Amino acid sequence: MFDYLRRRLALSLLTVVGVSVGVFLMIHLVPGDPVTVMLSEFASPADQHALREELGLNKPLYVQYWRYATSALRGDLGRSVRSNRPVISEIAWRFPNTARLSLAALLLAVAIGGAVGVLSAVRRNTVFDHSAMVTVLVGLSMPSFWLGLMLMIVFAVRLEWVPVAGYEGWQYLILPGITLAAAPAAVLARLTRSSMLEVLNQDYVRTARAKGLRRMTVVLKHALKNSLLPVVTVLGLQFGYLLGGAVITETVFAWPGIGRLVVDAILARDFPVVQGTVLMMALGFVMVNLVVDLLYVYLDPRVRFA
Amino acid sequence: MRRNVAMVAIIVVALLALSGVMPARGQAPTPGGRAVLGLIAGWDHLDPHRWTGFFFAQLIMANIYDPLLVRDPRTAALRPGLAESFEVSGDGRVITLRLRTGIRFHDGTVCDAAAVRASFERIMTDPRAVVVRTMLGPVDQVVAMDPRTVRIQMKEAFAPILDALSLPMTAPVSMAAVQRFGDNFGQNPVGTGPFMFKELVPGDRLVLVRNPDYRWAPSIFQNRGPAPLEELTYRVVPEDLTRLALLERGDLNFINYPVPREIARLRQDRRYRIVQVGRPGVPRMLTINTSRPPLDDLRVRTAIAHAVSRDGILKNVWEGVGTPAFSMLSPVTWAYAPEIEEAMPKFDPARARAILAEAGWRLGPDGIVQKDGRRMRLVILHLTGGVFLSLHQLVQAYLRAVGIDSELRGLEQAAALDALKRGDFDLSANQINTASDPDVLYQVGHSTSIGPLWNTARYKNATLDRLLDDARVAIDESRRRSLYAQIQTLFARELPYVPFYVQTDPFAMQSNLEGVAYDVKSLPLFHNAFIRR
Repeated sequence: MFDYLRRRLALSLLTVVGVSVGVFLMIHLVPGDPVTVMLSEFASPADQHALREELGLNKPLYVQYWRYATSALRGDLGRSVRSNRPVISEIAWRFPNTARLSLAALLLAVAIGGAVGVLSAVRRNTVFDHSAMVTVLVGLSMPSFWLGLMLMIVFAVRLEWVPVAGYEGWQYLILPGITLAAAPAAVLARLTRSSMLEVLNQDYVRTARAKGLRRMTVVLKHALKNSLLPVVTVLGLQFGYLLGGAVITETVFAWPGIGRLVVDAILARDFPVVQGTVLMMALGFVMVNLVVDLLYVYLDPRVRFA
Repeated sequence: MRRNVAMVAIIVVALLALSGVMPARGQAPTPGGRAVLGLIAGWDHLDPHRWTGFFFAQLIMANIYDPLLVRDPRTAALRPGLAESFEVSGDGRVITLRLRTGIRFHDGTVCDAAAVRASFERIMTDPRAVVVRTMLGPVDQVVAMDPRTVRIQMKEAFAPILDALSLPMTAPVSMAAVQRFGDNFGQNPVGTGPFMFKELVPGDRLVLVRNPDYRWAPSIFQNRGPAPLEELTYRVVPEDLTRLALLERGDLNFINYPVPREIARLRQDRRYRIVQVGRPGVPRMLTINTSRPPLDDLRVRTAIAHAVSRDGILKNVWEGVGTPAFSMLSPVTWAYAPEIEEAMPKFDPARARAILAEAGWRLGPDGIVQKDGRRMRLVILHLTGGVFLSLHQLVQAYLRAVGIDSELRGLEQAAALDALKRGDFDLSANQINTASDPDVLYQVGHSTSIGPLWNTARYKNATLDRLLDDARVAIDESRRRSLYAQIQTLFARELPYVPFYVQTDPFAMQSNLEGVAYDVKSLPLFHNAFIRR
């Protein structure tokens, strides 16, 4: 088991380093100049050269990356070229908002997707099962932009049941949370259903039924846990994706998260913010998947005793 | 007829803009109240001297900082701001400003001639103050003659400096605050304006509170004392429909850029008011890359100018919001020459085809003009997404109708800007250069502005260069006006650019929010704004 965990940890570190190198190279190779962003096009060649020297932008890429990486290890991700605020502050302000929204969306997706998936599997080929799968297909196909605006118009503007946009209290989580949860809930519903169906056809489940156990006991105690392995994997991926900041939902609901931060930074060629934010996203993704790997240990005894 | 309608529209808008400068008779401002404004985009920082051209930052800075001079929104004439009077020497090299008394920064420090001199010193020496330093021109030194008198000594005459002194970017800032906050001054702005900084939540909102000691509002305002509103909050709400929904729910009092197709409905609703303010400077235009054949041929450029319908663009892309432009200066710019409109080619596809034929481009069997066996196919560069795509698709359709084939190339902003500056395109309609001084034409027309600056048409004309150089140093306003009339005529004749429409900034607000004024750059000013109870 410890070998398994050590391997996972090593791979995770490699992933983070690989992502930081990849993003560093990409943002430096696309057209657009951060010096122009900071000084404007009116800057003389001498002014531009002086600022490039100050920021080390004249150095070879590998030297720039080394400086960036060693500073990042000390917690210094540089300063935004637009606002001049420390990148770590920009992220620190916004990450809790993204985390809150992601967690709300994930819990909603698990509750709805999990319940629908289990019920559909148990009531296979019934009206409920078919209706649920059609609804799931609609949920997967619906653009989040459209869904968010429709929810806003109906529930916030016309009915005034919930706030339109903002992030000050739990009630502001409702509409963006539902919008963000729709696609993951749909994915989870389908996956849970197919995973459950596979497990429900196993001999030990048949044996449990034959022993006279109640149906819900068979489903929840014997079948569900074993069907969770692929679900937990996808859940981890979904949460990692959500932590990356859902820029469309954040834009529609004026939610100040890191999704909007990184997109605005890319468009403005704000290199330090792009690098720092993507690094944080990669770290978040990797940590979530490490937790998933630990969950495997609990769910699958074969891993525990490997 | 179209021109008369446009002029009436502009006058109506100007009168609406005056509602804050001259409140309706019998409608005294009610002190108190908090206004929340929803903006389509945020700001990078609020350090005026380090401004790099981000338009929305000005919108906020105009309420935190006071410039030394102001432009009267009705006449565009320069009026006293923090300076109660100003004088320009005969040779244009010395500008003397006499400050009002009793001015203080938000942190309580005195704003006198020494403070103003120190602010100018900062602009002249701060490596990050490039744009603002360029706006001021060849300043030699700034001297505090006495506690109320500042003298700006220029190396040579530079007429645009007076306009620069009317912008919040050259306003005095508290040097005590600059020393205290250093590079973070932009997140902790301290000026002399009617509103003071209270709180900033990155990516979400900025809160300003009334400056209770404010007694020096410019003479263009009726109320010269503290602002009636006790708090002003700016919120960033990028999505158009969300901004509108917040306005309709009452969570916002004022928004910019309401959804164009909703403007007609909002106008009919007495709960809201719509104000549209035209921007000065260079209007939205089609840039024609004159360095690439066949666009180096004036006849081809003239044909393109005849091919595109301004009314069609306004109707189909902007839902009718905006006014057509027929000159390289928008009609709300003080040096605008209305007589130029006759010289600018109008929509006439038949004329376009005839001119192309004169230039040797004849219609081929596939409906595309060709010359010497070569089809005319142009590259149209555009910003991706939204209204820019629609605009360029429409331009493509108009060109196709006269036999010009084209390919649309969409790029995101930074890449598009890069391609524009390198001249890697044939046509593009992304550019607009907002400015209250006609010297902006130097940036789009002078041969030295090719490359780093905004002469994206890569147009070179020695006569134009000379006229632009002369207009920069002419101190006498009537002489400048005459020179800019000649410059506009030359642009209309040579067509490196085809002006399309005047960028109109629409604002929607709750009808009980009154007294909002708009300066000549369409920036909303809340000096006299109040919420009617």
